[in-house]
Amino acid sequence: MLFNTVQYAIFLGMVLLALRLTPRRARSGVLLGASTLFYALWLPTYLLLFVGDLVVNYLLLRAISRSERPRLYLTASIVFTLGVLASFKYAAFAIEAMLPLLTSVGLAIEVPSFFLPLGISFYSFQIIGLAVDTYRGRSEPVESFSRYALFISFFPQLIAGPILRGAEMLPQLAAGGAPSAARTRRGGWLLVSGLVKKAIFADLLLAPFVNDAFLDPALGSAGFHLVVAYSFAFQIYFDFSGYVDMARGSALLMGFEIPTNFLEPYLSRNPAEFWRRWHITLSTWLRDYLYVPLGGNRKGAGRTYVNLFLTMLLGGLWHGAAWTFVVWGGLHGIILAIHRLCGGRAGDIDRPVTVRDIPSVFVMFHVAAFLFAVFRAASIGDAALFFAGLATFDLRGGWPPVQTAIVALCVGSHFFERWFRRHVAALQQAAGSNWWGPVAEGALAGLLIGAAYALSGAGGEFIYFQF
Amino acid sequence: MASMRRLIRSIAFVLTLVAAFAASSTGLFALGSAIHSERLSMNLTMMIFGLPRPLQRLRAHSLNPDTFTIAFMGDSTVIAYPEGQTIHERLESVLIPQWLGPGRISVESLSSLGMTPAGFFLIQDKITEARPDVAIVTANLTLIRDSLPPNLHRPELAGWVRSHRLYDALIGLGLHKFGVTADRLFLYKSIVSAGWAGIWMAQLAGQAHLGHLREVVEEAVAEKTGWTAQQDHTRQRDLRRGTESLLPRTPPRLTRIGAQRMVGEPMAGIDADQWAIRILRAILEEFARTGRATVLYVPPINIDHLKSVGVYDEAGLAKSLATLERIAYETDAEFADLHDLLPDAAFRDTGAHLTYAPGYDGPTIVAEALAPYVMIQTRAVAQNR
Repeated sequence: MLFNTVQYAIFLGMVLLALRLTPRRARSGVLLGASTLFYALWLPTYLLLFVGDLVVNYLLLRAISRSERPRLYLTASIVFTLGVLASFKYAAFAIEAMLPLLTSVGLAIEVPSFFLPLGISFYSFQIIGLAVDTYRGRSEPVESFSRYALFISFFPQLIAGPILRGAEMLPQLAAGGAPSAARTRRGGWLLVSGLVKKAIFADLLLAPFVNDAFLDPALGSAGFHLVVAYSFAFQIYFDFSGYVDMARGSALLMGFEIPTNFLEPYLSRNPAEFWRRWHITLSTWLRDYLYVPLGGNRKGAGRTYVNLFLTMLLGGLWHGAAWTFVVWGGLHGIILAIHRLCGGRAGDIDRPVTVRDIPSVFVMFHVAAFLFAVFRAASIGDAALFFAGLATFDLRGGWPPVQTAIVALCVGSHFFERWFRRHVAALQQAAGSNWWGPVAEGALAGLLIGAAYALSGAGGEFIYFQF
Repeated sequence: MASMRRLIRSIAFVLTLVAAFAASSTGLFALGSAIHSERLSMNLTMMIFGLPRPLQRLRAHSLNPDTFTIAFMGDSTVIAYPEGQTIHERLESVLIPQWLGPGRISVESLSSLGMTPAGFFLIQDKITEARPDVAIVTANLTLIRDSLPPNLHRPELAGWVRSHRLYDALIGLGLHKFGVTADRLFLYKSIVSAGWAGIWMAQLAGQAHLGHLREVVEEAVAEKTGWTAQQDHTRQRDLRRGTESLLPRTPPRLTRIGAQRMVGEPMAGIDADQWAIRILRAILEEFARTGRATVLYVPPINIDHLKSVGVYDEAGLAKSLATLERIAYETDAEFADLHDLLPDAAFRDTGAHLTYAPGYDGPTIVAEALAPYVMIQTRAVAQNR
């Protein structure tokens, strides 16, 4: 169920009503039921797979916290979870990649075609994260299956994250959430902002142009290609961050805090900072459960660079079973390694962007946007065509006027978002202490929701749903 | 006192929100209606509201024992012609002189723009309910592919699927691949059951109009300022959509990439277990089960052009056609394979739409070629009547 649909509005309204009518101690049951229904409402058949995955992993999790040989059960949990993920997501890719070899030795294997279970990449990482945290003693053992199942299946984050940690979420689930007027207000605004980002910016202003352009990525001048790259960079940002806003907003309405995934990533000054602002819960997951176990920066400079590269390469592969994702991740790994080699660090991400930072922000934005073009291309061949078009360096013409204006609007909105994040508390306080506050807030919210509804067309799908 | 104040503020918030929502959505829908072109409006009307009326006509004919009714389930390749020159109308003209049975023969079009087998599966119960004597099911090679965007399959038609086919729709046939997920299915069914389909369709039409706002703005900017992406912007846009130039007097043609995207799947060879084929098969099986005679019709595609851009794969296409023929045979349907009936000159655009000039009347040629297959089924049904 997409968050920007009428059916989700009805579903969320019913869940909120049910929670309101339920005593606090029974709310977990309502949420688990709602989350199960949410999953089944996508594709009922895969519910069995999902529940099976949860049961096996819960038994292994209990064994990790109780057995004398926790490492064995941790390994079993990781192998099982990655095995299921690989079967559905990577089997076809692997067989296709090996097809020439298999054919040459006389093996005729048909490439399997599976429909990817909803949110499998996200919940698999969450399962592994909790197992590792339990093994390391960073998360309390989960004593009930229903609590465990709710942690993994909590519907606002089930299908596209953010990837939650046991330590931050399990205590909240145990308490049944803590709804408050402040959280409701914040949650409502996050829902509105997510809806606007998704329906107006990503789906209406950016997606049609990008989809058109990538039909034949060789066409157009270098200027045209630049606008395409910028447009997709903003499309994927608005699409994904809009989704996360709606996920966080839904959770807040129910009284739960879940982490953000984005902090104006295109205002980053270097690659390390970019990954602290872009898909934050994934990058911290990769850091804690892949980069650090690989040795992190503890085994010398050379090994650090290799670890960075491998982490990003696998992070790229996590996004999808295609060479474009692998190359995208690998290139980010190389860039991070070079940045580190040159002595660079992420720095303080809360430090305001000043005029002096503009050149580095400009360069980093272009690096991110160009790499996203690889991510978006249908194949490595299409990506090469795209860059060949860009490499003509003909910037004199070919700038599509409307789309160029839209990109300028997106850049402005990025700065506005940062300003708004810093001033939202003061604005809300001003609105809360004046008679016109509720009228102004209601009018703004109504206008934005009405516009998003009318302009939503047939409704696009979140790009991150496919991962 | 504080709680009363909070209550008043909450009421003010909700009332303003509702009023602002209504104002902004109504205003934008009004803007959408103001900007739409006549062509767009007609296409949308056909896509969104196009089916109920033909279904009613079909039902009315079927109730009349003197009328032998043929339901033509197709896409724009059947109907995108001036009135009187559509393929179903031409077919009726060809069949009438050959009809030797009592009463009259009538061909009713249930075709709609971009209609895929998935869309027809969802409304098939309505069609069988209308009891046509013969059904012509179109298997357009450019549309029976798994890679079409989900919205093209018209998941909203799930509102009309009958309860006994819910399992098939959701699980058995995997219609989720075509956008028919359980949440949509239940929402659409609820809307239709509540009798709100008309209001809902009007909202969809309003949203669809606004989806064209960008084109209108782009055209206005180009007209006012002369600023476009480049001099041949129109050509550029068409190339991006995978078509060759709109040069004067030259019908547009697909580029190699565009052709590959459009017919790559059938050229690679479609198997019987492919989703689109499974749905097509389910439609034919349901007609066979309910005693409707059927013709599986493969409309002409531009084989000459596909050969010229190097996309034509004889073996792959033969495999796809053999798959279609097999499902037709197994469900007692006649297989009318006209995919290579016409030369390049017969196509007026990049799709499978035909020229209909007096000098070259594509729809009539197709109707004449299709008629014998229809007559086989027609005679069989007429004898058993």
